[in-house]
Amino acid sequence: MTPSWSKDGLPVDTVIDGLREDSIRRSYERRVASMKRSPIRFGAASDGMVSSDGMGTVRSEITERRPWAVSDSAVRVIVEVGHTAYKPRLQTDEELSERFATEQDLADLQRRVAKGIEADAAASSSEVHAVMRVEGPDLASLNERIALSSTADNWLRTFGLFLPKRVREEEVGDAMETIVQILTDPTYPNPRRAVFWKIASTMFWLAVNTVRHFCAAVRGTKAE
Amino acid sequence: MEPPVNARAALLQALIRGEGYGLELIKRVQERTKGKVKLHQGNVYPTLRDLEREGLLRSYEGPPAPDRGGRPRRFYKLTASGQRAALEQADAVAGLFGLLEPAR
Repeated sequence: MTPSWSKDGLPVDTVIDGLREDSIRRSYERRVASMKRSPIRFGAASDGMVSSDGMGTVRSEITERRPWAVSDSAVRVIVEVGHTAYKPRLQTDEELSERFATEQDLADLQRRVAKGIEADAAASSSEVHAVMRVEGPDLASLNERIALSSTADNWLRTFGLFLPKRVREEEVGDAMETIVQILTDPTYPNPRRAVFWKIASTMFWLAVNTVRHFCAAVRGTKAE
Repeated sequence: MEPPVNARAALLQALIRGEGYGLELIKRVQERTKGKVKLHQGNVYPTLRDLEREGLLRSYEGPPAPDRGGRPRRFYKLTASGQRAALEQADAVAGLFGLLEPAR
């Protein structure tokens, strides 16, 4: 869906009214629900994105190697929450500095950005992805990581239903902590594989340790 | 190469330096032994529970942690007898390795 941007450089909050369709609303609600469930917390990221004032910020490091990489749906969700819109491709020095615009600059920036978007839209409507106040790149990756952590949590939580409380909370909790560390480390190679491997090995050891736990409790013998 | 100590000894020594929970103890042992002793889920938790049953450790639950999906950490600390056992073990190991001359 291509947003219909204002022709007169209206504040972006006005512009994005055109995006408020049911599908986006549902997508946003699903994402917020997923983020609330997710054990991942990227600083203020999750809280910010679901905050009622809609001015939250996703923070992560911006590097030359990892410029903006924002999925269309993610952008729209961000915009939907009330963030200022922005062009994803930032090339000039002036635009780069706008990434770090302060609150005071926002009103003016909104107008300029809206105009910029409108100009871009004329050239290619598919380029009109907009995001601002997302001071971290790679939202698509962020979303994937959040989804992965929710998946891991769901699987381990379900598996844990059959385990004693102590084993469940201690071992599943430590496993989730490890998974979150993997997912929040941007340099971790192939986090997806690592997470699924961790889930599998955790399930295996949970089963083994639960048997040991019961045996040791019944017999009063050492498990090792 | 076989690890120089078993999980039981490694955990007792790790806990001399202060209380900790499973994941933290795994890292502590790995760091202090420069990766020579690697504990894992299969031996850490059963051993911790054994040590607690034997009265060498005491455990308590911390507050729920968001990065663990709201699950609390379980912290372990040495009891007085655990401390004695750990120190005796450290002396024994130091004595043993102190007696050995490096191969020429």
